[in-house]
Amino acid sequence: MSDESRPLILIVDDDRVVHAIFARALASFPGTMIHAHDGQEALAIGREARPDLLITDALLPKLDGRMVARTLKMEPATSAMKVAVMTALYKGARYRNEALHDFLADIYLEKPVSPDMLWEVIEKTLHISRPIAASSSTHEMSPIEAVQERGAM
Amino acid sequence: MFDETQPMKGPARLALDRDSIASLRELGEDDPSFFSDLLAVYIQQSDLLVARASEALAASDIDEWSRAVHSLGGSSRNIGALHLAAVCTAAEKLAHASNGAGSFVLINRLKIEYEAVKKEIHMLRAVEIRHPGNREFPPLFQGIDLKEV
Repeated sequence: MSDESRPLILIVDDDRVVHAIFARALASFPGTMIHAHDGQEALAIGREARPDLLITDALLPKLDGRMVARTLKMEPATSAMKVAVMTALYKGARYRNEALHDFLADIYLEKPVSPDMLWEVIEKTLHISRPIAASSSTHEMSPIEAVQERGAM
Repeated sequence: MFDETQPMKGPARLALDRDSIASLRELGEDDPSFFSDLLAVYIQQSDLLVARASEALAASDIDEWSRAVHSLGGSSRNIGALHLAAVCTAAEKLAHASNGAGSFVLINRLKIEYEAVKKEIHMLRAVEIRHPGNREFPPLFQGIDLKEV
């Protein structure tokens, strides 16, 4: 179950530049972020930590991000998770419909994803507005810390 | 029409898009080391991706080549290396369309573009280290016509 007082986002991309930009853009996010770099890692973390929101690149090493999305959405423990799939490759209406209907994503994003787009996703899925003051309230956890914290709830 | 296989002609151009760089600097407004660190991450990652792409092409592994240039293109776009990103996109499309034929031409173009990006990044980082938070482009960059030809 998610902890509404400390929402958890899992960000998945094999591009470290994306992780650095997203971490900076979401510095004022009033919750926790964890980062994964391939599909298998994302699936494992998703099952253990049960994030409230998964933001994943579609094209990932080891396991397609869209398959990660679909798998987690179809498992009872993670079915309530919100999922945003981002892609630079699978662009256009056909891929958008596929992401939303076949892979069960809630949101489909075409890269590059800007900080404004990220916050729009958070507002739509977690109903959390972007803080006006740019104070850093986000705690970034290692995957192990996130699992341990969730297990204690 | 832009031809990714040919050297650029006309006025010199920057390898990094000014608006993208400005946006990244603005993003790192509260963190003086963000911009410089981000560019360091990009170079470290991209050195590996260019090496992977070269090795894949030499081994005729078109799938791996395609994955490497796709990743390099996406990352490059994020830091404003738009011309390099365009070369990567062209390389990826060519790989899929022709099963790798012609990719050797683009790997050379890609390497030239990447070296230009690295050079500019090193200059930007050098300025950033000496003048943290400085939003101005260094004098070296001023007076250069930014328009594509």
